Amino acid sequence: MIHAFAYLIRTSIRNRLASQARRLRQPVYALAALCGLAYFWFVYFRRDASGRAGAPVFSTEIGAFVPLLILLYLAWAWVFGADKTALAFTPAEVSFLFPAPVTRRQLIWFKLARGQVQILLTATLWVALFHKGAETLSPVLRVVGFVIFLSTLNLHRLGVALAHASSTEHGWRGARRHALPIVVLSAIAAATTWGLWHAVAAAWAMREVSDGLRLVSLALQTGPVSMALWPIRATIGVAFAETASQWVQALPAALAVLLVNLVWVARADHAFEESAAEASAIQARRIAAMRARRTGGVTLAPKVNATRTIPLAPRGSPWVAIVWKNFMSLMRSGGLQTVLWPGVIAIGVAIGFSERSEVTAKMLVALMPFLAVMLAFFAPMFTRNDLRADLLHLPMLKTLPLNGRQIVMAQVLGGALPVALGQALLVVAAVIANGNTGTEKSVPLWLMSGFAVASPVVLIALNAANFAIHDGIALLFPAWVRLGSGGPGGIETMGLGILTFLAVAVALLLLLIVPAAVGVGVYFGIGAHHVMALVAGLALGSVLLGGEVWLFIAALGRAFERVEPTQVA
Amino acid sequence: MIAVRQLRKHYGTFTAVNGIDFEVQPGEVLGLVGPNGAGKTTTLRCLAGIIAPSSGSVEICGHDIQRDGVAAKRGLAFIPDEPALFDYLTVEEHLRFIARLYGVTDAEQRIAPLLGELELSEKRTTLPGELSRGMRQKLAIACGLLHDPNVLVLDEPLTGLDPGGMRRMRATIVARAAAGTSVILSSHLLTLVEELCTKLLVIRRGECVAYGTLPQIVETHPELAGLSLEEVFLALTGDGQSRDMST
Repeated sequence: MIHAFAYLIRTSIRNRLASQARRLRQPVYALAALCGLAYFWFVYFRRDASGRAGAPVFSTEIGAFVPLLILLYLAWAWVFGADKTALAFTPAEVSFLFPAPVTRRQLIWFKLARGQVQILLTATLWVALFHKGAETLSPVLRVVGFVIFLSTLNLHRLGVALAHASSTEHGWRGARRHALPIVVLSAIAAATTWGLWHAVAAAWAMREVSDGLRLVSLALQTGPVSMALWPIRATIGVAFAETASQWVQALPAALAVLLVNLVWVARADHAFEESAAEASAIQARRIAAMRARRTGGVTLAPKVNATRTIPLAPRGSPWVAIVWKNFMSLMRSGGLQTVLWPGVIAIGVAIGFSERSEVTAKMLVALMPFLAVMLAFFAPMFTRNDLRADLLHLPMLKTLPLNGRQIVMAQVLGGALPVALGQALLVVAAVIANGNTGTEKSVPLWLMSGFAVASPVVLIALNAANFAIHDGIALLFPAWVRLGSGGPGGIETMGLGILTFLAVAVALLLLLIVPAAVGVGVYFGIGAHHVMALVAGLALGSVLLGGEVWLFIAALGRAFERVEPTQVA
Repeated sequence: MIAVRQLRKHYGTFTAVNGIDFEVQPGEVLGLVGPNGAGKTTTLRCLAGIIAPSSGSVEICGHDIQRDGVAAKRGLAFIPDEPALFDYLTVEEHLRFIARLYGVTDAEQRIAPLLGELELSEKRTTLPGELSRGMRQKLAIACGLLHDPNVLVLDEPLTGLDPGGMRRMRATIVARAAAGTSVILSSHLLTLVEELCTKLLVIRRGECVAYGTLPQIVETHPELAGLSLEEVFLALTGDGQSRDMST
């Protein structure tokens, strides 16, 4: 059986590469590939030639928070089972492999093996893109380190998905089979929470944010928290080692953690095999889900509450129906909650705590605008309620009584507006918190007022630009983009995400040049340090950006009218 | 009505459709038949505005589908063989979505009877992922019929339907045609084509090999006289092998 799997993986990779190479005969793909290669040459070879010494990937203080973030990610996956792609198989795999004489264990090993190829690609891309000039650690060791790090995360995520599936099928009996990892992770989480409690309480009473962060960072690197987070630090260590000797020292521990996860997944699979009938039922459900969806990977479909709805009047601009449809999709897929919850929590914290703790207020003032901007950049990566999701329905979209510009505009707004809503909540939290930062405000009142007044138009323009670029990439290069409404696609598809992110960043930068220059000109022209100058500068810059986005959408509309289903399939 | 003139579609050096002409008047049902790969789906997709013809023209209710696409599509419904539905809209929400797109102001009065007619009333609040293949097809049909189109283009409309659903679908097509809708029906079910269609367009390798009512086709091909539609189809489209297989 292993030969059949190896053949499938090998030939799929070979054919995919051949298909990608053939696609380069099309001028638009060839041009994009040349731009990509030029970028790589610039950031890789030119930076090497500069001979600058490589700085550590993270400063010690910031680096201390990385294991904590990974712990939070794992805890989230355990509690909410959020990673739905971990057990996904493609429709073809379900059709051919599930009815074949293959054990579930073999299927899981196949999925792991297939994932390793993508992990290797992701690690190579990551190292190539973030390689620093005159770095002491060889790129090969760095890639191996990243492969170990990402493979461990991937294995753990698969284990969590199996544990969730097991408990769903067998109830408590299923959950008991995963008692050991649950106890270990709970112990790590409890020790970390307990250890950080005092540090956070002490930081709470401080006046400066940097002092508070330093205190928490110290707690993360010492005492029980440091011991509790050891397995996670061991995994990270091999990926972010600065020198070859550090890498060699970190390797045994990282391999040990990888091995533990591997054994756990193998045993989890064994537990699943105990009930062949129930396993078959799951397979049947998967096949049913595949037949129903026919797009992307096949996963255990989550139950969706479809009782809540938003009315849509039959009268009015037809394209609004697409904005409505995308909003409903975001609401029901859980994406809306992901976008809105940070703002709701931040407002709650700002109202409830910022008056009592100045450091909390200052932290909110500093973090919320940053988070709002980050949301603009990252939201399109995890909310795909725009053209990227609907391109798989291209034939249906093209029969709608709308022109290409209207369809693209509706798709862009369908993505941009909910994100702007989430960002507006973050801005409100920052404004409330700024009011509680003592007589000497963190941000001068005129500056905060200016940002708050101009933020709706700024955020909508920024989000629209971002979503338009994502949709443009999907429309112009459908073969290079993952289409459909699924989530980010797991650790193994991070490479594709990184490349898309870079392409979007470059395009956004180009779009921002003129609006930013005009905005800054207006600000200084009217008179700096004045609220009206700030509002006028931001508003005019945003209107200009909106104009650029409008022209871009019009061009994409024409491209939409030209594109044919065979180019997207 | 539908008017197609010298429709051609090339993919590189491959010609999928090569100079097809036909018309469908209000009340007529045109059966589009041909073997696999003959160019039926390409023709239907050109008609529905999904793909642009390489040359030639398609007029829907007097509007050119390329030059005046939005107006042409307002009077058109295309029901594909594989229903494309939105994962997160319920059955009823799909219809409300269509109502807004096509400006169906009396949607409230139309939705309930349509759902009843297609036996979807109990599935009003169900998402497509929880529907059977047949139910999904019925929903796609309901979406196509909601705005009372002047032109109905159906690609294998009975796929996935149960016997009751097939009978109702046949009755629906007949009723729509009687009410003045121009219908194009592509199907491999020749009994369905024989039962419903007022005229036929037989295509093979992208070219029209016969067009007209069955008597008109027999008139131009006297050797087909007395043959069943299946035998006529095989004679017009099949190679020697398929004729052998049929005998």
